[in-house]
Amino acid sequence: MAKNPYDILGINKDASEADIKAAYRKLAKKHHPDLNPGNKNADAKFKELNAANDLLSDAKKRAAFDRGEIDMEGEPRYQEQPQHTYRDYANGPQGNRYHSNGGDFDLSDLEGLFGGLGGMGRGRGGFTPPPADAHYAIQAGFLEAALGAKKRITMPDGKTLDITLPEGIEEGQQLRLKGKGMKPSGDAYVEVHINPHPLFTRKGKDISIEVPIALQESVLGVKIKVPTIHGPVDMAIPKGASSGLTLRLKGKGIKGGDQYVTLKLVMPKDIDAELEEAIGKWSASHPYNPRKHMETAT
Amino acid sequence: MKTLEEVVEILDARIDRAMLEAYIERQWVRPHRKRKAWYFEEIDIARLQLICHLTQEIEVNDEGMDVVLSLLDQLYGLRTHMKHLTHAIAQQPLEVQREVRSILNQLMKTREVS
Repeated sequence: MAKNPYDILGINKDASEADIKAAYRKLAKKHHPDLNPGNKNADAKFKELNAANDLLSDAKKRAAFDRGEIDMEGEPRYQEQPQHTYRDYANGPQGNRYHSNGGDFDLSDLEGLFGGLGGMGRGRGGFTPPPADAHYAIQAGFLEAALGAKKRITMPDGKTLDITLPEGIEEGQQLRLKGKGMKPSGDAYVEVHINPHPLFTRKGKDISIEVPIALQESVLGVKIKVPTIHGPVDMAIPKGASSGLTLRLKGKGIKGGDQYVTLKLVMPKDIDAELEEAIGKWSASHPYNPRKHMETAT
Repeated sequence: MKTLEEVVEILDARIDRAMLEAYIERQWVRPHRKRKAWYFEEIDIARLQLICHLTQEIEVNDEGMDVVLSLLDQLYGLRTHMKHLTHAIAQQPLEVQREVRSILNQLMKTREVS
């Protein structure tokens, strides 16, 4: 605080004692922290004023300062004063003892309060400024979240905000946009919610999908096309694949994750005579029991 | 809790017993009363320091002090209500918070224009 006490009080070097007192009184009224509970700067400003006043209202110290013997740091008196001002208590729970409308909470009062504050919006009242940060929520498509995308949201005041969703963003994750809050000093926080996809589900970086296969595809073993978030890929169905078999497509998930493909055997809609006959003939000579393990377990 | 004598001592010559009793009489400070003696909490002492500053350095007179303290008590009361309200709003779902914010913004705008 190597400031000049004359500048702080806004007076000339040849100011009289009365000038100093008047200048101090005028500024102290304006910056007293207890009279400005919502203004964080008032505290520092008030301390500075007191230090300047203490120095200049003491003729000896003032002379020493004018001769350059001491600076404002050489004045410890204000530091000795108690740390707690009235507003520390009045803003705390004890404050209720003096608050004049500590009764029930009435919302209709509040409407008047906000209306009234709006009216003094341009003044310099001690009204707590609205929060600098802004909070928004957006819905992202499943693929947008998986692969990354650019989104634009419209804020309540009609302005738009461009957001880049990073690849692989998770459900409920928050993005911080520095300096895009209600005020330049604040940030915007955007919470991302991901819409479900009709085919894919995800767990972290891995994608899962259920793929139906036909009876003959399982019996014969073929190559089929499987959708992935990066586009369709070829996948070999092993001969004799059962329903529920899960195969892995390496690197086809999010950011190096994998895609897990669970097969689902789907029978033809109509079992015609030809199929029935063929299977009937086949089963007579190839009996097998897939539930054998259940018998032994019970 | 401090007694009246202790408080006079803490305030170190800025106030005497008679002044303190006068402040209690005017209800500027409201200490606890027990067995005919006054007991002061920390907030009462901080309030007295503020009163001393306002009456002595800034030279607010007694009538002025009645007004200043009454306004100050209303201000801090409202701040507490505001704090409770913002706390309650912060616990609402994001959509509700957004809605409240947009209504408030709207209110502020209308007032500034009219």
